[in-house]
Amino acid sequence: MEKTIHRKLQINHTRNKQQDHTVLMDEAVTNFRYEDCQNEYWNPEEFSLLYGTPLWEQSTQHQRIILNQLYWVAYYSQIVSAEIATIFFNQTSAAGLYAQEDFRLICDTLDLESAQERSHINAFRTIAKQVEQALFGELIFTYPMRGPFTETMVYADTNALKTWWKKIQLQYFGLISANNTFLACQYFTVRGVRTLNGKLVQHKLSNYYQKHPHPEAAPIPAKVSYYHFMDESFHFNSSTIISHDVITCLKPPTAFERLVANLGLLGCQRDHFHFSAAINGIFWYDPALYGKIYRVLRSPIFEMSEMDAKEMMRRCFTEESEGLQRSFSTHQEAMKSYQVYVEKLDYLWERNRDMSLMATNSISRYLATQQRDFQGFENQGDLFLSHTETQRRREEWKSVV
Amino acid sequence: MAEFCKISFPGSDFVPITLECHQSLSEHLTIQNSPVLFGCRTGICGTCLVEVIGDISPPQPDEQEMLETLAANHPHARLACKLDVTANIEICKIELSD
Ligand code: FES
Repeated sequence: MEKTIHRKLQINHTRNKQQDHTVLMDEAVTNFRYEDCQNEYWNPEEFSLLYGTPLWEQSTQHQRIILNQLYWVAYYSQIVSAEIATIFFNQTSAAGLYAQEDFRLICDTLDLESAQERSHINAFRTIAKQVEQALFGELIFTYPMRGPFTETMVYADTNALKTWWKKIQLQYFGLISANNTFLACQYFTVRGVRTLNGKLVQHKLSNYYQKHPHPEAAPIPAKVSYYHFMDESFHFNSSTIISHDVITCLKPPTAFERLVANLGLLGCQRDHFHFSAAINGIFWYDPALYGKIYRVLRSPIFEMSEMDAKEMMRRCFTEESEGLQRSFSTHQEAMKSYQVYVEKLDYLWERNRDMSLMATNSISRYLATQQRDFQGFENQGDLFLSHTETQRRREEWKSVV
Repeated sequence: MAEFCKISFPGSDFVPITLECHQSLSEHLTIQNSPVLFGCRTGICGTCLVEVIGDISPPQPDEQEMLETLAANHPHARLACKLDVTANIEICKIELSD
């Protein structure tokens, strides 16, 4: 391996070990009690669930605080999914990198990162479960632990066949990348893009702690956002070194390797195609979120009737709002950032380099989709949970707390 | 001491931005209003490596170590996410010939 690349890897690994935030994160989470911070914001105000929508406009101060906390819960529940997958693919890629001289340094780095991901997952889940238990007594954004081959928690118009197909693709990718150095490196292009996206928002979330008038007294979830942001900086760096630099030490990819690599990035564009009026910075497909938002609106926090809840959702999801504009603008920034990030990877197809799939989404397209899908949702009969469904959810809940 | 600093981007179409002194560039510059892409935002990844012309305090040891690795031959190279801006500056993207 070229000297500079080795040096970059070395600095990254050494500094990550020195500045590891795992212990601080574990400690903070052990001391987390929702009662201690239930009356304050955990993020900057604009990072609240449904911020800038009619719901936000008419919410009381107390409800706004809950929406702010629910953003945290929903956002980091999504990050849990990403980190579960990362732990698995770190290992398969490490196997694929055995064929590389100096592989040990890379593998040690990935081991450290996986240990950090485990601490992050524990922190996010512990806090999120406690909050949902206190507020709703059931799971809404949180979910039981799952394997790495499942769709992330709220996914675009999926069905059983698509879920199965995605699972097969992920398993196959894991298998072949464990025996192919190029594909092992290529995994880090996708991981880099995803982390780059995360950093756009996580930087702002972490600032809340850093700029807090008394950081030591800041709410624990805000501290966790900061600790997470700091660890992930190193993870982003490893992704960049492996996918941009280490890859240059390998033979050019074969046609098959190029195909798999490009399909991987195209899948990433597909995952990041949508943007959400409910949560700025995660590219969720909002119709998949209707049921969850409905439950929040019918809960004792908002106490809406079936009709009021549906009417509020219609206004939030099918009409233009400041919140929607903000989410779209994050989507645009992410897309432009990805373009620059992958600019020099000459094995990529044109449509992956210019992110043309992501580029076809727009506010008018978003609204058209919502107007179509919301009708179906609105026409469903009694949406409030039936007795059996409530029972099922309570069982599910018991299995995780 | 100036309270505001002008950040300009010569050689590009981006219009200059005025910031208060000591404001963090990574909170105000995006890939849409400047030639700078921020990745880690903590001075480790080099994604925001730029050439800076202007009166600016020298890098701290951590940034210096990264600069020696990333752009040893560029005397004006800096990491935009680590800059403490106290004067008008010009920022250009560094094209590394690797
Ligand atoms: S953004 Fe990573 S070094 Fe500045």
